[in-house]
Amino acid sequence: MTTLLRPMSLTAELTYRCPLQCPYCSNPIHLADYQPELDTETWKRVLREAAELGVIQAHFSGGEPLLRKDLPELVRYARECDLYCDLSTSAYTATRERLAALKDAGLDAIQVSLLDSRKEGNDWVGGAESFKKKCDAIRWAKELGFPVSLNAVLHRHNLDHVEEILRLALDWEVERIELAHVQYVGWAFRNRTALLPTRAQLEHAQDVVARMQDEARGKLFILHVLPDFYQAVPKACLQGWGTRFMTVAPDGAVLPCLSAREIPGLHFPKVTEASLETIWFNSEVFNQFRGTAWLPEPCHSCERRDIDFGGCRCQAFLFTGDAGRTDPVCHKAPDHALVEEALRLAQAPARPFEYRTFKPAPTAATH
Amino acid sequence: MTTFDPKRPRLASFARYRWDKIREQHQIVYPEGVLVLNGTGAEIVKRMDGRTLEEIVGDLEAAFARSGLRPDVLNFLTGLYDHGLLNRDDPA
Repeated sequence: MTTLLRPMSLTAELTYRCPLQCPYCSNPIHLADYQPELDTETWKRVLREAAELGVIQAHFSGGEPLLRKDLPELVRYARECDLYCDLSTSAYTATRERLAALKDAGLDAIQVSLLDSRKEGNDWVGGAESFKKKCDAIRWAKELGFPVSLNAVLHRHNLDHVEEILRLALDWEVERIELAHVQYVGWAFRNRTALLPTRAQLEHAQDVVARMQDEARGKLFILHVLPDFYQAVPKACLQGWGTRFMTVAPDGAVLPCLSAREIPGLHFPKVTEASLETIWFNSEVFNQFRGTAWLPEPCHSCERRDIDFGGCRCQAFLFTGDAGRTDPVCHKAPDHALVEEALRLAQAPARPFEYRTFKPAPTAATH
Repeated sequence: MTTFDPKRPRLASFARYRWDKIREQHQIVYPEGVLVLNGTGAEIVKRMDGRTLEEIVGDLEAAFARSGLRPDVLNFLTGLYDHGLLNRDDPA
């Protein structure tokens, strides 16, 4: 049994610091509460423990992981532990020298976020002039021989540019692009009314993507992750709580999901308190929503019980105040009307963003 | 894809073969994904080092004293291609 439960992926959130202020950031709202950051030696221990526990991939993320001076040292160590290493970056602070150092350290792949196909849209959403820096960084990464993946986060302000985004990816000759609709947790939940696309936008984009997938076949791998708000059934969040994924946050808290730490009542042990193995197998928080025994109705008797595990715990909490309820995205959920209401509000003209900041407004601006 | 016929199949640049000693599995790892291979798949992938398709088929047929493996190998490669895990520079 324990062999089935070993984690495959570690998201190493090295820092919550970031030069961008994307209003859909998956980091927690109360960023300033989670300090100080782990030091280099502790991160190395985390990487080693993760590999020993069965983790295959170390996903270096943040915040902006390039802000950590020890990133090449950590990548080199992770590769020594036989971990596949990739980096998720805004590229805002990338230089050719830094990328070369990461190549030398053995980094396997780079994912660069792309906020829009157009400079003005990209720079507006991120709250900083990052478009040109992203273009430069992608070119350097290609020159250095990195496989590059673009991560284009989609929402109502850029969904109509999806063909342009894909043509940029083709022009840049990147290997892969992930078209990922905003997940409405963290900052994105605050900004959901400003970000949710309309159904018409989504249907148009799906047609465009299907056509472009045919056109790009063999040149560019296009992964399209559909927005769960417009699905009849919820996403199989994490492929099940505590089954494949673990996240270590900048302060060392070990999370089943990188968005879960602001669910009240859950205690997240830190790597400084126990080993990753103990936390993964024995901690209360990793066992709380593991498997299907805990599921409420209508999930427990649902034929999709072992497919989606009741959906996303963060989404259930954000909408209903109770992380143990059925994900309200599901058409069978008792709270489904809350999602319908959010979609109804999204048909209205967009409201201004509340940008990500270390000093958030006390109450959400877009409720 | 009946027309799929790569000349020198190789893994995509971001994909790496590894033996997982904890799970005792052959795997291809790539950004945010792991493809678990069966023994036959692993034998094919280990030979994807610049050899031609015909060389790979010939090597496998010799190693396992079998003939007629070409359709199985092509079928496996098509699966990799559809996962985006074959080198895109290879003519398809």
